[in-house]
Amino acid sequence: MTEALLKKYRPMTETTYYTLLAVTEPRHGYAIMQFVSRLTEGRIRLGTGTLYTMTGRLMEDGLIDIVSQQNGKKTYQITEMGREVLRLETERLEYQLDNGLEILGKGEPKDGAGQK
Amino acid sequence: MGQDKNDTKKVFKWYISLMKERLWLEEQSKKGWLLRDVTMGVFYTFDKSGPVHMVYDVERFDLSKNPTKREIEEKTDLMDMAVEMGWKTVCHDEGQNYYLAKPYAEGEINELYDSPEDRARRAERYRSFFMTKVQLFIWIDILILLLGICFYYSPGTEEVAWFSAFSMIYVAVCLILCIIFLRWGNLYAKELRLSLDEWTALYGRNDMMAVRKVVLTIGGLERFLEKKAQEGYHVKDMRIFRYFFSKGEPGQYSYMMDTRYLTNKRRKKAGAGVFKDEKDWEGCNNDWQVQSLREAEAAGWEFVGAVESRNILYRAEAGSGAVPLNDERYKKGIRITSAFGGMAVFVVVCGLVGAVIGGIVGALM
Repeated sequence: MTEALLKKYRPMTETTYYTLLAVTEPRHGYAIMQFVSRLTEGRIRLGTGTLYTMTGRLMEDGLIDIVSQQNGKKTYQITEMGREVLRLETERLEYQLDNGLEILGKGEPKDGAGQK
Repeated sequence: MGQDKNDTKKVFKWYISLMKERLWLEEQSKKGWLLRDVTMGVFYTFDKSGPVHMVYDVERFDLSKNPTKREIEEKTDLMDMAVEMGWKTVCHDEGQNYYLAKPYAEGEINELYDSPEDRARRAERYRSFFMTKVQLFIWIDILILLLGICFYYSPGTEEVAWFSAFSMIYVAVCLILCIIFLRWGNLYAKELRLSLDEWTALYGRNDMMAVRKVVLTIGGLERFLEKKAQEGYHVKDMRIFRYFFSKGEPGQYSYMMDTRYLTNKRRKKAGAGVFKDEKDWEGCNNDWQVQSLREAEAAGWEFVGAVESRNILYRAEAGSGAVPLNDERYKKGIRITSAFGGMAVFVVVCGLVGAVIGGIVGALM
């Protein structure tokens, strides 16, 4: 993995993070949208344009791959490199969260975490 | 298609704003007319159906000079994704604008693009489409102009003297078109950056009223706005000779317009240095506006709007005790620089001087 790639994806946007999570199993566009929406309880909704741009960019960078294609319906899956980037970003987020909790005090934001 | 005449309708409609066009198509679907085709960007064909709530979006897929593989495949890929997400490609017009439609879904994203970055990318694409046109027109202009000049000075071309006249008119028309395309491109670049909701909140308000009015004096303008406020129309924004009002409760308000000239008058009176920038040839330096804002707000005035660095408009409720900053006699002053800007005045004066010199030289020869 190159330095440039890490720089580009660390930190990564929330939508990219959730999209990568979604394709840890083979999923097509609409399924990615549904998965992310369900996981975040509707907080993050991916639109056509966002999903198209993101899958295109992730494909170009080799973080995801098309595993099957039927009538224009593409199924995506994360690559080894994608998994590694996702792992590194999760580590970074964990570190960030630890710092946050350290300053703000533990326990307090746990219940409302991930919601606004 | 064997359809009854009442089952389809053709409508001529010319929209400059894509947002307005999309909202209109949406309205049509609610009335039971579904878009089938668009020709020349102005002829719309609709099919009759039951009333449904459809949403529409438009996209274009211009290639760059040396398109990448991804750019070549973009149209197919994006369309495939759109189909998966519930969109349907309705048609495309001669300008290669693709119209997509999808049934409105509560709580879901009802636009093709939902992130500001993606919207900005599309906005840029639309703008550059117009810029390409502008470039083309400028090159044609230069070519025709050169040909016209050559013809004019070539001997033996008297019988085709019309060409010189033609080239002049042609160049003028092309330049006007260039301005239209530039403005059109900028409009798209501005509005496509917004989501439909953001756009509606900003520009699509029914309670806003735009009034074109030439008001020559500052006092005249203040009186005009005060009268409008009494009728319940409160000015929210302004251009040189255009004012935007929002409907509200009738009220007694005072308005005050301030300019660099007047701010400097006050500064001089107070014995402070005036705002002068030797390097500011185009009149863009707005240091005076900062000073004006400070003084006006301290005197109890509320900012309403400004036209570039040319003027600022304030208002205050009647009886609030806000004291006018400027002397009464300046209200009779004609708005020239404060309306059009120093650069415009400079260009016009130069043009007039040039015309006079040209006239004198011509008369002497």
